[in-house]
Amino acid sequence: MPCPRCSAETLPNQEFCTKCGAALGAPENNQNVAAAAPATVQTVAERAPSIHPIPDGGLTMDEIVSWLQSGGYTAKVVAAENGKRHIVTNAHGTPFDIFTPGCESGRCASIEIVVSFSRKGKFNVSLLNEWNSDVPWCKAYYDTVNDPCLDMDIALSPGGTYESLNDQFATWTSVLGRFITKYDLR
Amino acid sequence: MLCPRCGAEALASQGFCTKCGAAFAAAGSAESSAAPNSGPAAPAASQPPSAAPRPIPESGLTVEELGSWLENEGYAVKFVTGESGRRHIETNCQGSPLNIFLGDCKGERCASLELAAGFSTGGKFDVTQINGWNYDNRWCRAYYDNVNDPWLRMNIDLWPGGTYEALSSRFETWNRTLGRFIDKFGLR
Repeated sequence: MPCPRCSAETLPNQEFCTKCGAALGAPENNQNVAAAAPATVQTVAERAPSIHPIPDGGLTMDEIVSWLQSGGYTAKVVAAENGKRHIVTNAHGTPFDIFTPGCESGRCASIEIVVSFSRKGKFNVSLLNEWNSDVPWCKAYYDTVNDPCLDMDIALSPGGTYESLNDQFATWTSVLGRFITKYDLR
Repeated sequence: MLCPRCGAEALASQGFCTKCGAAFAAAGSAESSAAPNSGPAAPAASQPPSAAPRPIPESGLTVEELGSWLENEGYAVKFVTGESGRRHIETNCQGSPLNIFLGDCKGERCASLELAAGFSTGGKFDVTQINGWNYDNRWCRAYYDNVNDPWLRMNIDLWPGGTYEALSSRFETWNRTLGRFIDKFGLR
């Protein structure tokens, strides 16, 4: 059967895609059994899905790069003038940055994804309030030269899982596509 | 090779473990070449979680389960039915009313939350400050409504892969950020 995320071939006994790490769908019988039974604490516990936790403290830069590349994304580590490193990748033909603020002992408890579009002063910044009012998940703002930016934070620890990381990153790419289309930023 | 996390057999060409989803280090990655002393990265192997997090049920939470969770966290809970017939929760946070809407619902179970706090300022809020907030602050998005009152919103993913530990942590983040928003703009 093909992976629902990257369409790579998978085997029936695989729980995760070898190419992109996507969960390959929990057996539906859990849900069906639970739906037929009264909603008690017991049935909720039975319905608990298997999860694959991110390590305590979050991910290292290496691990984030590996995760991105395995999902089919490019990942280039870039050092800023202050020596701090971040990752540059892209989606929808647009490069964007992944920052890892607040890391401890190399492990980062969250990532911040930021994209900026150079419009050379041609962007109508008054449009962005409506975006923030109407569109969930990411915040939009304009920078010091009135270029539009889109930004999303994803928590990795405590309690983070690869399933949630994959799901939220898919949300980012989806919202980014809407942002590009809405404001004609290609 | 073996998955460093769960020990399952894996092929060298695999990017992820078929059993547990752990990412395998990509050979010759940009990061590896930048740091020659770094060995193959096994994200979940070098520092496994100290305790297994508690997963949120398949497809997310019901509004009742969310209410119970909030009460256990010490928040007041009031269930409200909107004009559309959908229920949401009203609670209080940082001394201000907070609405919690459930999203991505399939039946009674919902895979995400949206937290929203609005502040009536009688037209006195300087809306030019909102962009600076969004530029400088993480996690939440701010905007002003059609009467120029400021709002703060945040979305929380519950499923797939959500855990109660992550939910608590995100709610704490919301709490802190809301407190800063209120203080910065004098909204008490």
